Amino acid sequence: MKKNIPVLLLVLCAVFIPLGFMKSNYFIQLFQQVLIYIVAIMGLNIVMGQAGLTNLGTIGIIGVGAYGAAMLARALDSSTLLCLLLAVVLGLVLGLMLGFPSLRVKGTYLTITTLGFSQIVYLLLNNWVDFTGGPMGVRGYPYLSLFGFKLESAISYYYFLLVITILCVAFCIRLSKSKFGRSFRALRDNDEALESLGINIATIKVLAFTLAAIFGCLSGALYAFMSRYVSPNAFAMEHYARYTQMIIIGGMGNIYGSIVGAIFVTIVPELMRDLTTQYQLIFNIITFVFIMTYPDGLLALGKEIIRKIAGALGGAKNGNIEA
Amino acid sequence: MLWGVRRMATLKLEHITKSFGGLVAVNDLSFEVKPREIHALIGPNGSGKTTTLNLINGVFPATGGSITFNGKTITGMPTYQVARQGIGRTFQELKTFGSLTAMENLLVGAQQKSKISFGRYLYDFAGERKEEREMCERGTEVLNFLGLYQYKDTPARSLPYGKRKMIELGRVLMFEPQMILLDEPAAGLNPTERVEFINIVKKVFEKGIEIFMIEHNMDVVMDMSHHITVLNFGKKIAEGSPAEIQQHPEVIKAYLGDRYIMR
Repeated sequence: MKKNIPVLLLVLCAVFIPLGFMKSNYFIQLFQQVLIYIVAIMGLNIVMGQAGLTNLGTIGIIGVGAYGAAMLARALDSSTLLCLLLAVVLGLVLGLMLGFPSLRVKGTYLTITTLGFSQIVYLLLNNWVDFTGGPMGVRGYPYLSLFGFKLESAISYYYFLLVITILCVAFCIRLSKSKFGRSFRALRDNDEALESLGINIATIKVLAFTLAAIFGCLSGALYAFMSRYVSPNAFAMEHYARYTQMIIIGGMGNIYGSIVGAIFVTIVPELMRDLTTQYQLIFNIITFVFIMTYPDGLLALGKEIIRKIAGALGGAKNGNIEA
Repeated sequence: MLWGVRRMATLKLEHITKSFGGLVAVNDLSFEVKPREIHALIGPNGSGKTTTLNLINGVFPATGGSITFNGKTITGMPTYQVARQGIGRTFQELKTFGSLTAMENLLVGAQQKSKISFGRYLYDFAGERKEEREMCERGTEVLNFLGLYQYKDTPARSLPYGKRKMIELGRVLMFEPQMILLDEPAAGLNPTERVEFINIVKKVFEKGIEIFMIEHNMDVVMDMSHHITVLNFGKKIAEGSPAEIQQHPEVIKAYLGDRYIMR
């Protein structure tokens, strides 16, 4: 029970903090962005953090999800859950597509292959003007509606996102404790041993890629309905750095760590907007130094601080007794 | 139900050849691991022992010849299929899952028996929990058998070498194998650990699981095995009981040189 307190606290914060910012669309949108990042990072956490397979294809997958949802919504002239479902199906297909190269190539080669996928998506979005609208992107599709109820206000969409995010996180926590989570981590530790135990590692790899792609596409679709406008630039390779930062800052392979990382990487740069043009530079220097000093991530650092404080308090108590 | 039904298992290699480019690592090797016999494969460094084990295990395909397990041909099967026939193995250089706890390492071993597919996992919460509980029960039994229960929640990477070796064996025991291939079970263990490990392996054998091993340490080989095959430069040079092998001139020549053959 005691272990659940931080989780409960996090959920309560997510539910009530936005109420205080009701008037500012800017802040609500920032919080929405955090949740959308968390959905994508859940997938990345499975494939990179747990299964240890480098996947630079994520940004391309998010792009496909966003465009898929936006274009379907425009074509149907209504945005229902069907658009999100399409995103999930797209994710399934892309994941299988990206998973198969992972059976043939490993390590650096896999990194390059997945990087290639992201580049292809970016180029298609930019240059296939007839289909994707090219650099102008896709706009003018309706708000997401839920059983006839339109999520027009930022706050209602925020709570919708929150529900989806909690479901995704809960799914990932259950998954990481199950035999699938164990085999992902076993794959990262030693694939030969895993195979010698009668487990087809091809299935495990494809499963990891597919789950990551589904989360990625879902995140992209949610992004499309948040920003109400999608353009290729949002899915350029440079944005990938953000996702990697989130995973590493939080603590590699840890779900809660990834959530903390997503919050940190989204909120902190915004707090530094006053530094105008230099804020990105300074934020990246901070993260660089942080990763060098605390490679285990924010979560491990937090635990260490709590332990030290507890130790200091305990020490003081003992001192008093002796005195 | 830790040990399942006692079965007889035979492993037969017929004219197995493996060449890497121009190098012939294993040359026309035939032998049979008979039921209820601990069979050891020995030979000097580079004589093709581990290659033979990898061929049985399906790590790479043989260039020629055939391997049968209980009458079923397993040549050319991928590694995970070989394991599903009931053949487990341990590794010379340890391959435990470092970030997983001792218990989790074992649970991964039980996984090939799992009946829950990913699709079913998505909705059948109760079934998944039940299966997980059964696997944990079996894991507890195996950990107790190996005397590792106290390390249940310790990540494998922070356990000493000897314990990790035990975990590798336990991981294999989890899927009720019919035969275990041990790649240098005594390597890297100190004398106490070695005795402990050998006793465990003997106990496993007594429970009805066949043992085939590669070993360098002659004490261990002579103490444990009932039947020995000797390899040199990929070719079988002798086969027989430990006593016969100790007297065999070819074996002495391969290990010590011509001058040590007693006339």
